[in-house]
Amino acid sequence: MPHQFGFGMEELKANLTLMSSLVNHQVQQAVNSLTRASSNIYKEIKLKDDEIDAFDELLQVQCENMFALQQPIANDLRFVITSLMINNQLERCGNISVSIANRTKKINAHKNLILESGIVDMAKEAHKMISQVIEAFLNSNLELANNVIVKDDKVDEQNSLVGASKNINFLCPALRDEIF
Amino acid sequence: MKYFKTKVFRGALVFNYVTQKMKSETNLVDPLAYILILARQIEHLADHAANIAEHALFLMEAKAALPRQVATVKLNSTQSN
Repeated sequence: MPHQFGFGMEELKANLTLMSSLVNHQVQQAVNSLTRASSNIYKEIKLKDDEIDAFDELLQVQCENMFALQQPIANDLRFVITSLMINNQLERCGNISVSIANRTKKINAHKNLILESGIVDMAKEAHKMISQVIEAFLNSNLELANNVIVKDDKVDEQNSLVGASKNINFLCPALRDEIF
Repeated sequence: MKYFKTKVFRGALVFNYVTQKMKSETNLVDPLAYILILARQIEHLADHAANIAEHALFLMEAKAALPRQVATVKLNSTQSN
């Protein structure tokens, strides 16, 4: 029985690694589609998205089986929960990549607008975050994961419509200390 | 706690660009609207990356991070009282 459990965990991690590298590639392609005038990119991304959806379902089933049949505890339990959550987020990232490529295809004639508006830099930053967070998760790199959370605020700022809540984060550490 | 650092305020770059351009060149409203949606979707990508980072931190530190939205809502409610 313990042998079977270990095998399941390894399989889960291997599948999650595969899926995350697929999603990383997808996001990179979506960012590329913003600058390159190629209509093939959308087709490629659309095809790859089916693969990501299949991985999503597979991982979900695997995680459910782990919960139901193996009763993981402590670190193993956290890993299965995290896998389930991250799987969900990665799948959403894949869908957004398809959507970005689709929209970019529709405004292919206005590439200069895309370049002028500055969304390419935003997209590059977002892709960097995704590749960093995948690396942080797979190599258990605490520092890198923290960096990504801080960076997210910057992307939000770039896209923010109102300049409110500027100082809100000064007070958050105090709130956190109060709760934990 | 490193999770919440002071933001460097960079302004509403994309939104300002798009609205200015829409006012000056009305024939470009359609592609500019697409650019606004693209900007929002890229922001969502970054949000998902941050969420993944939070889950990864939960795995590594064995402690659940306080969701950022909850922190903001709590802060607003204390300010209004």
